[in-house]
Amino acid sequence: MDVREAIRTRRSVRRYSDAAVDIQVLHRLVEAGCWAPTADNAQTWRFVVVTDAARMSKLRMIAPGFIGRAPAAIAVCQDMAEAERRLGAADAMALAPMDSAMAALNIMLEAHAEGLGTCVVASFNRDALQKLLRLPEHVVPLLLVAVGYAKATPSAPPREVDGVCYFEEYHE
Amino acid sequence: MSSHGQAQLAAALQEIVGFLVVSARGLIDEPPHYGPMRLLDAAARVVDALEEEGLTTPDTPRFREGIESVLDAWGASTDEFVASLDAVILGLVD
Repeated sequence: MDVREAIRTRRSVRRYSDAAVDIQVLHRLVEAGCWAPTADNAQTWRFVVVTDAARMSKLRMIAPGFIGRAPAAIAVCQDMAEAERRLGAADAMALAPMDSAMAALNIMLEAHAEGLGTCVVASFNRDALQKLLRLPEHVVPLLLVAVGYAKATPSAPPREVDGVCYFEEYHE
Repeated sequence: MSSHGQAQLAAALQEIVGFLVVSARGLIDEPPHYGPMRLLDAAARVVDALEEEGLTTPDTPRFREGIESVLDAWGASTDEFVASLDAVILGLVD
């Protein structure tokens, strides 16, 4: 799939079929995430792939933003201890979430190219997710990406470029 | 209903109860308009759980379609979302 087409046709999917996602495919999605840029090339992200039915049930409980019954999820996390060591505390706080967001977008575009639907989720109880995934205190979950085969694909809300794009100088 | 079916339904309802409790905590910090979405998602989860155990009425498919249409309208305009929701509500008294 052409990158332009992928960017414009990806949707946030909230209804999924029951079909499982192959573990090798999920691994490829994480690999795509690892090709995202990072501040100082720090690559302090950590990814936890979840497919186990019982764990997914608990995930749906503690992540209210996780709408629909996607059969898999990828938690995009940051090793904040390592990020602080590489970037300093202030930059780690500011930049690690951006790195995670760029990785998540790569994951979603790769998934789209694979014929999968995704939805990025930030509405979850962080402490509970940390416990569910057995993350140590310094590894912080920042985003969840729901992954599965779309049962329904929503239409795209309009995108307005005029009015948000300025050349050379901002003006009211 | 078989004992297996009862256990399945109990597990599904427990997941929904947990979802509601976690949502209650989350909504303290989240944008107010997330509230309607959480309630609708809970409704969809209940319908799912009932359907999986065959606990349906003749109205269930229509009700499910209505909820799904509202969920699909999420992310579109607020007007479209509210109109979809209003249509489902009026459908309750057909």
